[in-house]
Amino acid sequence: MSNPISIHNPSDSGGDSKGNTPSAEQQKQMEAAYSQMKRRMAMEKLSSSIKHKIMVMSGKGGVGKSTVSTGLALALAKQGNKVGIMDIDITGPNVPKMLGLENHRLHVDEGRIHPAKGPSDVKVISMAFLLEAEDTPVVWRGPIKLGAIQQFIGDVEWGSLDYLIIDFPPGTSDEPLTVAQSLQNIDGIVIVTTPQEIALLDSRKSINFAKSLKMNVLGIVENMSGYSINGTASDIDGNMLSNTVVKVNGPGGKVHEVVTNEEGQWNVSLDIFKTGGGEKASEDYSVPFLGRIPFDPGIVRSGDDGVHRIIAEPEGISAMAFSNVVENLNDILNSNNDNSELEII
Amino acid sequence: MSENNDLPQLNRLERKDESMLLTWSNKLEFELSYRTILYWCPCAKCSPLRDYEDTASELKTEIGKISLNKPKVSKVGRYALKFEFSEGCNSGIFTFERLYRLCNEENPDDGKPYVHGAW
Repeated sequence: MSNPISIHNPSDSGGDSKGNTPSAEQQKQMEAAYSQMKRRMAMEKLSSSIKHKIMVMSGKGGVGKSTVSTGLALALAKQGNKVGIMDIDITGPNVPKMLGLENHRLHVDEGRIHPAKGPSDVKVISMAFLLEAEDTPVVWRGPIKLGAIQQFIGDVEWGSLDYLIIDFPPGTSDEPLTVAQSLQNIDGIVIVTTPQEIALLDSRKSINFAKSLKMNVLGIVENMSGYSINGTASDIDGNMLSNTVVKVNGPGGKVHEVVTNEEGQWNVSLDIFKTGGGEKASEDYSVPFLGRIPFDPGIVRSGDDGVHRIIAEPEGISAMAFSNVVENLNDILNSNNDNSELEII
Repeated sequence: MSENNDLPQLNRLERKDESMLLTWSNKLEFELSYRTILYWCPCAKCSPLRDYEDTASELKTEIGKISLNKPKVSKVGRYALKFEFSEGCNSGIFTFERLYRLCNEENPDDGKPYVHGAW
């Protein structure tokens, strides 16, 4: 892109003998400063054009952050919101695959990057779009990663959005820090955890990270929470049995008793992991519990197939769980008065 | 998406023996009993109990047996309060909107059943 800046600074060293033309080095520095300034302006503009900015984090890997990020984005989009998702996991970007945008290439127009559009018109930006092949590793040191993140924020044409979901790699290192410092008015952090109590330790890191940056913890989502099985009960002639008790032997010798509905159907959730980690973390650290996402093998399959579970089964258990989490999240986001003057006697 | 910009700020919360006095920025003042707070606890354990008449009634009975003390009240972020009672459930986080709705004798759950995980 051409640079409209011309320089007239005779006191500078370099340039021509009359001091009217910058040296190549000076020109390069000015170009860098100019693009940095433009990026900063774009970042500031983002604050007003995007209503809610939500960071999705976890203290450890493998808890399903990207699943939760994409689920939140799609559940919000299903409500009619304009949603974007920024996949900040530079070294392991997998949001595009989950949204069926594999092999998509980004469109750049007049120096602005246009995000890809996924299901329900969710706008997506990810490092995956820039890789030659999906198995190409990104081996970047911190400063280069940070530059890429700033580009994702400042050089992308997000347009006006109701929600921007930012999906991070695990941990509390450079990436969330860069975003927190580059993007103004972030609503807060959603922490993803798993049901085991050990998850408490990891959640604590994310909560303390939020505190150190004076950011809100919007809440905790417990992922892989219970495995749902269902079935029907009928008599020997095939007649459905309503209001009938079905006993299911669950893990750890726990017997679950469920009652069939009018159509003879039953549904039970088995705690295949120890349960309550997310809820306990929210209780211990006084942060809201946004809800549970059940362990759903369909999510894994749909993640691989590129058709998200929420899209494939809009009335399914995962879609309902995400819808519940989004409702709780909206309640918190909408409680936007800060009551800082509150006097408690 | 609707944003609740009309929600007044909670200016003052005075704890009495069995209830609290809430004063909002719109000058309205309400008395909310601790038993009401305990009954409408939004936590994942209490909420599903309100979905069915029999369990809701049991919940009400259990709360009725609790000997009340002034709870410890703490702010949660900028959007909610947490109440710690010496007896009863302390898990729930009450958004200011929820409290305001309770003050106005509205159902803070909108009459919707609680979805525990997915059902």
